[in-house]
Amino acid sequence: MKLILKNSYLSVLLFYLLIILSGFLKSDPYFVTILIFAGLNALSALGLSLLMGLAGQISLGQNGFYGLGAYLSALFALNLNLPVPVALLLASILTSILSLFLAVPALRLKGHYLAVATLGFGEIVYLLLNEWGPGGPSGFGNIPKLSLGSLTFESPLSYLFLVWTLFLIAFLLAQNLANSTYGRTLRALHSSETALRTLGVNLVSLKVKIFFLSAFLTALSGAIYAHFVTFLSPATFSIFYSVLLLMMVMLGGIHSLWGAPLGALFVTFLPETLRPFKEYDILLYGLILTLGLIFLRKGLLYPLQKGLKKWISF
Amino acid sequence: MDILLEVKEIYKSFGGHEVLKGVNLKVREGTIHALIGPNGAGKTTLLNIINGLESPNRGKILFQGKEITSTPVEKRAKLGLARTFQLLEIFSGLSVLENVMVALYAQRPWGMWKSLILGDLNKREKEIKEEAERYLEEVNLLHRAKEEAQNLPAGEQKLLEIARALAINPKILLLDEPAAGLNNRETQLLGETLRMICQKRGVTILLVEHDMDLVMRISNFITVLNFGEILAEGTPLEIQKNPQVIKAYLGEET
Amino acid sequence: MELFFQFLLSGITVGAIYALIALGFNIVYNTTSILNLAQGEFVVLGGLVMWYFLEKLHLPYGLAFISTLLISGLISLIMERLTIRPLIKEADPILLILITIAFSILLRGILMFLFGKDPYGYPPISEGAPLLIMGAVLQRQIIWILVFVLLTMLFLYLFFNQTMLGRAMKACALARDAATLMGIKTSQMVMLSFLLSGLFAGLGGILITPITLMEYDRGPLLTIKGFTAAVLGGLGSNWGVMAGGFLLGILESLMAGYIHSGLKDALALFLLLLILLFKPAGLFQSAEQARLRKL
Repeated sequence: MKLILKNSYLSVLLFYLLIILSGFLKSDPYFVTILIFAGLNALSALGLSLLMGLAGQISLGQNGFYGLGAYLSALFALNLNLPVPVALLLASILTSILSLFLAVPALRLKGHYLAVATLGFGEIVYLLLNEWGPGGPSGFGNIPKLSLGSLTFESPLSYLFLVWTLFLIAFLLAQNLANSTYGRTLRALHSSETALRTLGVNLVSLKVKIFFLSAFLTALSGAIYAHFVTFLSPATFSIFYSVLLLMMVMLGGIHSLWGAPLGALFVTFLPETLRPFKEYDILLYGLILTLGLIFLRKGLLYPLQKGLKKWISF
Repeated sequence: MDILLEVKEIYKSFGGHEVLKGVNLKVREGTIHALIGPNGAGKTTLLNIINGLESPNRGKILFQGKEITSTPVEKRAKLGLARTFQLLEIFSGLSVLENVMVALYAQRPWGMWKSLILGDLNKREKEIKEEAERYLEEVNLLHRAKEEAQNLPAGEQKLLEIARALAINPKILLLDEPAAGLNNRETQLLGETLRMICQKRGVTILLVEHDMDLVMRISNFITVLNFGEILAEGTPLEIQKNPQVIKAYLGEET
Repeated sequence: MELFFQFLLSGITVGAIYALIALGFNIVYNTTSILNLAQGEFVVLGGLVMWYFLEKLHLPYGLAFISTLLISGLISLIMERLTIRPLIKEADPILLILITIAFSILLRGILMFLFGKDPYGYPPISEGAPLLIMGAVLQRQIIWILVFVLLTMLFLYLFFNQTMLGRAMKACALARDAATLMGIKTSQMVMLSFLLSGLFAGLGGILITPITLMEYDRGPLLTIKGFTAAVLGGLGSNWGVMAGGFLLGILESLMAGYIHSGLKDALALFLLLLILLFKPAGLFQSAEQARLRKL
């Protein structure tokens, strides 16, 4: 009889409890807000980690899904008067379906070409939002906060709970995927696509499904963002977001799903710690990222992983 | 005996250099058919064309009587063609057992959502694990099941590729130099394994090889390919006695 | 009709800069298989540093010109030494692309720190009234831009076909392992390719700033445009990518002029997507050629 509660599940649960607790204990709302953003980023980065770490593909266009998820959910709630949870889900699903139009042709490409195709996509979405989104470059507000029935999510702590709980669920599911033979088939994409083809595997179908999943997670993250800050402007959804997300996954460590939350925490809190440095901030940011990529190649996780190998599975 | 695989008038050139010049080949069902010839003769290219990884400039490939010349690689695998590679294409990063499990998944896939929700508690996971162990046993690799595939010596990696290819239940197995890198004892074992695969499982084997001992010992038929053209074809005995073959090829091999 | 020529001219002008950026991309890509996504920052560098030498230090034009080119090339070399060289054996393309992005942020941060967020400009190479050709206004600087692009093309032809060094680089691009076996030091070729791409991008910045001014954050969009041009023309071929640059510039200009100026950047990207999805080898080379280059 297999234990349902495994070591890997336990470690996520522990991590989750740590996050929630730190939010409750440090009652500074600013800190909690950054933690919420870290959670949103972690959710989005998880999608990217599945795409890149597990399936070996690359996307520099996640900002497109982030933006579409946010704008669509906001508009569904504002203009169509849909209840926010419905708007969230609908926006996420719709964005994922739209992602298929990019994914199916683009995933036939490899490496650089795929990177640039997704980059182009992300940039187009940004430009379209900038040109045709409500309010144009200035954006729009009055987006309703999340409410479930009579319960309205007002306080930062409620969003903290929401975001990280969603992350917890997504992470558990992602671990399931990674530890299954399906997940191993995805990992085989890294080593020999040719061999997979000769075994009869439809590569495009495999890649497209993971792409869909990653788009969904990012879109969901964007949608929640919209109802949390209640104001949207295109600047948030520029290519810079995609680059940032990529940094999170790479610095966190691409070989493990844990790279997503760890990288997200690191990269989200980093600008905050650099804030006091004023004009040096972009410079230091770039410097830390560059050095981080050069020296922490295998990610922040690697030294951790070596020590805790028994407790953290993929 | 039925003709399982037929290669008809295949021509292939790479940037002006003609590699295959009107190759014809018939592989009979249930036999071990060897393809020999000097390096650069076009043997791997021919396998690639049969398998679907490359397209011929001219000619046809027929499998079980039906034309598959423009059928994609993945489809050919489903029809019953499997292969191994000269330059190893094992799944590094996965264990030996996992390599075969992936093949078993490929043979009867299930959806992503099932794995998301159930992970390795999926019933099928247990089934394919046991099945994979059986395939590993057949090629004498079961004791290596948990090891990382890329840590195996080259000879055993080739055996792994064979196990993996068998896992998709093929009708024909295309082997590209399976004996390369094996010592005498291992080659003997390989020969027995291949013979057993052919006889017990009824899998037809087309093998590209340089090891003449192995070829002569286990093949039912041999085709000699010399710089893109078929030089001779026949049973091992006939080939050994063929003067053209001796002059062009066998005399240079030790 | 005059309107058309006006658009054509402005298209050729900006296209020339795209061509130079795309060229830099291609040279690095050919020798290293890396996409240097910091390319656009060197254009900005060229413009800003030139301003510094010209307007702050009051150096004569020619001296400022050459000094800026040298600085641009030097920084590109430093980038290669510090960030690419240690990792090139790693062979993970994603990591290398990311490093170039991270470095571009660093470089942009340095430029912002040194020059602030204001736009900078300086006089063109030759002052004087613009010329009138077929009803279109032709600024003299545009002629200079075309002259320099032609010089660049001449240089490319001579360098890659007539000099040992250039031929060695070409060999490196086509078959790296074979080149190493013949005694060509690939690490030197990599350095040289970064140097050249820094020079060309810097040149672009020096030439375009008198017309469009230059700000610290122009980099990313220029990088994307340059890359679009390269892919449009066909990555791998120097002439192809330059042609792609001009084509992109002209299409963009016509789009902005006749249809909708706000979306002209989106056009570039849309084209990029279409090309990548349907003809990744580019417009000016065949799929077979691209494959033979092992793209």
